Amino acid sequence: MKTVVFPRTSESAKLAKAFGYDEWLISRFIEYVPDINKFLQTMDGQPKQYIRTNTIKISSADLEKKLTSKGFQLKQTWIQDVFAIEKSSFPLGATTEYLLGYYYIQDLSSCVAVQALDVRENQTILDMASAPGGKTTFVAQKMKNSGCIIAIDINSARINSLKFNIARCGVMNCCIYRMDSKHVTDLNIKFDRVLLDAPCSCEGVIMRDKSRKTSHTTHDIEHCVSYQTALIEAAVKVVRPGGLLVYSTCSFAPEENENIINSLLGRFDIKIEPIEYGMNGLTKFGEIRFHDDIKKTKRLYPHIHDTLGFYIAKVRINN
Amino acid sequence: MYRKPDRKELTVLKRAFDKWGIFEFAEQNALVLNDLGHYKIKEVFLLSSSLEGIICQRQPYYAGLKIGELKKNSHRLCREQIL
Repeated sequence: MKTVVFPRTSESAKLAKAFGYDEWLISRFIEYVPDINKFLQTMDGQPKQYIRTNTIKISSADLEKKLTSKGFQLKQTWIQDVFAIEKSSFPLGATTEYLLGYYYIQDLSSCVAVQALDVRENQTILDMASAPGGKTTFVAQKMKNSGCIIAIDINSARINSLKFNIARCGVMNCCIYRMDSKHVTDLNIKFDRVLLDAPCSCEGVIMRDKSRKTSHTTHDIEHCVSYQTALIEAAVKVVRPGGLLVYSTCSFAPEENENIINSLLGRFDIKIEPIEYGMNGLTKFGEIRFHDDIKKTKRLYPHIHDTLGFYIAKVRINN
Repeated sequence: MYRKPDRKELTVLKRAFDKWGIFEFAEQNALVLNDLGHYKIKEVFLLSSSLEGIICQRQPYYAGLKIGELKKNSHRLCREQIL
């Protein structure tokens, strides 16, 4: 699919100059991001920090007590065991509690994706692009270390961080396969739940990496779309009938989000299920119209939801 | 290569678990070994029982929680990793 580019306007030129973005990117944001000025201002700041208690090792109450005594101020979010950091006396990755695996530094948006996956104990779960392991370890704690999680990644450097995090968090229901997730059908396993946090153009993490304001191109989006299409088609094939597939990206691009889910409708016997947090997915982007059910997918925006930019879709596989 | 421990290896491991008073914990989960191939050292991993079946069918890159190492007649297991 070709990346949609809109004609330049005086507004897009002004905002691109004021906030230091490529103009093609701003002209797209104007099309679908609510309150564009506030959005761009927020994107220039630092993202809010969140931590998730690793309940395999410690309870949230005990962790809160330990971190509060060290000068941290935590605020419970709507997701159980996930705290927003209101005040930190030193870096979150430099505490003994972190090294002991008592918590994981993880954006709230990633936790929403795992919430949507609705995992239960003793299930068989597939995490298709698992490194560095934030979602994998969250799934493991939700399953109370039972059942099994197959974590796949292709990049050995990233797998090393996944191994480190699995060991740090005391996860023992996970095994790692180093392979391209496009070939996941080769495993001959049917899964109750599949999580596909797809590699993407990362527009949603511009707050963390400001160079992405100008470093990515329309070709990057096209490259990601073709890989994401291959991944999601493989994912649908390995979900057990009645099982769930959660698709997510940290991109705002509708080509990588609503378009990918829309392309499944009509080709597979699936149903899109609602997610409780976030703004509705787009049903229209420029000249493109998406199925009405795409509304049930969710978008998270930094200036509205206090998270990184994120997209999540929850898909029930009927047959 | 990940494999199930043989009877002798399992005895050494279970004795360690018994000494720590967590024999039942070892019974509820699975233990697998990864032969490192040098100095006859084997890494010891603790896994959920349903994961054991999967890794026996297809060798993974990494599996479970590493809890220590096993030599011919001795072990170096880390109790803190388990508890």
